[in-house]
Amino acid sequence: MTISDTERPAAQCPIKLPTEPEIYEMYEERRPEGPILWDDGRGVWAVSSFELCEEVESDETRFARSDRFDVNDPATYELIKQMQGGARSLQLIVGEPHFKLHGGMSLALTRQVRANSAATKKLADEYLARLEGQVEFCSSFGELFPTAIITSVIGLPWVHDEEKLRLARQYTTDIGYAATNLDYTGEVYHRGITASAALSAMLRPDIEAMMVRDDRNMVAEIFRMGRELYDDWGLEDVLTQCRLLYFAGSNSSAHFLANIVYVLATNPQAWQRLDADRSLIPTYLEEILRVVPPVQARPRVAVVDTEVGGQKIATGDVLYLYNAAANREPERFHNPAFLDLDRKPRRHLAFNAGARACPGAPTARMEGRAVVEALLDRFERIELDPTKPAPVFVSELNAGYQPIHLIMTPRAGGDERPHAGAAMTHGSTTTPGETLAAAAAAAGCPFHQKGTEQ
Amino acid sequence: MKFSVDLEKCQDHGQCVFAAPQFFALDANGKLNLRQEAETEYLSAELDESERDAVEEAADMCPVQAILIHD
Repeated sequence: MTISDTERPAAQCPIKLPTEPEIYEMYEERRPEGPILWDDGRGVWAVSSFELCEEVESDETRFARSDRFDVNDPATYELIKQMQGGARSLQLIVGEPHFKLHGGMSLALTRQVRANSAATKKLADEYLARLEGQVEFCSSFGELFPTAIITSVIGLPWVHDEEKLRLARQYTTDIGYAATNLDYTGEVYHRGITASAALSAMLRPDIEAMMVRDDRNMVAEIFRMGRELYDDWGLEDVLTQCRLLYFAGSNSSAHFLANIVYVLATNPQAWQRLDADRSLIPTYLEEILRVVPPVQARPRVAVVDTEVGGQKIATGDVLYLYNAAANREPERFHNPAFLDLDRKPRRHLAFNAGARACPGAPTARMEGRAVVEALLDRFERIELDPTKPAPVFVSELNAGYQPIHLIMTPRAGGDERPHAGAAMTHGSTTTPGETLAAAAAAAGCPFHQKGTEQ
Repeated sequence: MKFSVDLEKCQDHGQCVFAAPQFFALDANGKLNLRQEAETEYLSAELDESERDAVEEAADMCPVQAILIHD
């Protein structure tokens, strides 16, 4: 028997965003017109149904990443290679080599994430320890934390070097803007290529040293798995994949974290429920990803004449796949605009579907979890600062609320607050031996604590 | 320890194959092998603790979080 929302105790009612992003009004206005519409203004097909987004993302024989479409034009392809760092970027390769490298990198990332779980919580707490009283979250936390996490996961030695982290973040932002820009001769693309070269130069010495170490670090793993695919796989190829991790894991994660914090700051009931039952945190994270994903849409280009949802699509047509709209499809999700901690999670498209599903998803989930736990441990409550500008949902390179001016109230009696019973979970079940207390202790920590398609 | 796969959630990405090839494979049509065993949910037999790391990695890697561990 399903309990309707009006019958639930107030503390268990689904969470409505206090400010619904305007872009969602557009999605809902268009939805009744059909799952795939021609957008005359942008000259693209707008796809908004779950089924069709998934169909297009999952079929690389008919649809390509937009930056692969011009691979037959040597001049354009050269520019794309420069921006990506190399032709064998995971984003550019296709077919069986892509499947193997994608899976291999995803496994290596997952292993690093699992091994880094305690370190991530420690890092989250270190960053949060700086925040007390009135702070703007996006600039004080979101700006560098995700970049520090990627640095930690790769195993680079400058996790605490904020100048380098800041540079890496700036470079990846410039690359991000360029990567979503199809004007390959414009200023934005040029700035992306310059940033690309600068990021490579910054990473190259450490990557070169780590690549030949025999300690199964992330860099050495990428080198080893690439060698199984290509005889001449080398430093520049490995460097290209490491740069991609920065590109994939900085901006999108920053927005993911911002959205997590915005909802917690505006919903005391959600805060209290998560604090009382931390096994709900994974569901909370999935609901944030579903309701306000940091990547709203993905572009694809048809590489053959084909048909989608009854519409004839010509070779070269661009399709915008509005995963964010699909994530709120009323046929799939009851009360789709609400975050529901009691919802049985169904699959959503925040990390994309198909061969290019984001291999960094476990990293993002780990970051989200570490930040929520560290927040709950350290603070009694967080709330929006009414004297400061209210957050607005900015949907640009990535989508998220900003600025987020907070008033953060530490827990009484210092910032330590032991809690028992919480544990890392896989889905709804508990993994023994990985209690937060153990993780925090292993990290020497006195406290308990975009995605990108490739 | 057992694991289950929500076959309605699963989208046959095949990431689990990299983590735990002893349990997961894609068939000739690119579909998860366990679809031959169940319609909507596959539940494994009781597994040895030595398999835990591999299965947990598969669960963590799954893009749609379709794999659950049951203790």
